[in-house]
Amino acid sequence: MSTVKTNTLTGTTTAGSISVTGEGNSTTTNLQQGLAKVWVHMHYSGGTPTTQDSLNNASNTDSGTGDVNFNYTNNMASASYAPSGSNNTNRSRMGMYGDLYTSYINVLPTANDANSNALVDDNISILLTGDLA
Amino acid sequence: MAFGNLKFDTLTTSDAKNTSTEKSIDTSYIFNGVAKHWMSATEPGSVGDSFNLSSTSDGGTGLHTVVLINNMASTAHAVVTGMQDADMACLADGSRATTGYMVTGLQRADSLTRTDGDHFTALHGDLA
Repeated sequence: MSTVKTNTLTGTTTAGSISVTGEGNSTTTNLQQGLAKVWVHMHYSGGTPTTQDSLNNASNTDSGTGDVNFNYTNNMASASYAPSGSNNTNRSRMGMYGDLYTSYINVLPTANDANSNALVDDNISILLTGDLA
Repeated sequence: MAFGNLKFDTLTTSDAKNTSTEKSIDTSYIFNGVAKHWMSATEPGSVGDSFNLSSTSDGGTGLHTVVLINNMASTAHAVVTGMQDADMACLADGSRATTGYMVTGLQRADSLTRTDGDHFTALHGDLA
């Protein structure tokens, strides 16, 4: 079979678990666990965070300079998920998360100044792995 | 219709939630593109949730060693990180192995001083 056409993939034994054979042709990995559940490319425009493109990101909440929440369309199962990301300029550092919630994440880009805790409005990209609710 | 094992090269969907336009993806993007491991953890060694994680150990302040269940094919994999309280998590120098890696937490104030804290990682690359 060369092409499968479908709108939904569902496991037969467990609906939310599909195995995919890995690159070494023997070990399998879990498709659902490996998929990114959220990604966002966000720019600031006049101090306002504006999403350029995204997956599973319903809206943004601007809470002040260098302080923005990304609100999910489909929530996460718990707050124990794994976000990663980067800035899009050289103005901030990468370590930039506040609190994690099932329905949103707080992102805090920090100024790229030595010995500074200052938050800064910076264009950022985030990617989130973990379990959907 | 249920399939126990489905072999195919291309997956096509309607992308109904976004554009309703039929879109195809080569299955190589599926097994190459999915994360092979992720972890949400608190130093020292407390893991909230994870995928493909065998064990962790505390390597000292701001150092956390991660051991995978299924190994990677080579050390040329990609570890991405995040950390709470606007601190910064990084891959520890020289720690990338087929069996895992070490992550280090750095303070927000200077990005130099190691610190414990909630940190997050994901790993992309080829499984062994």
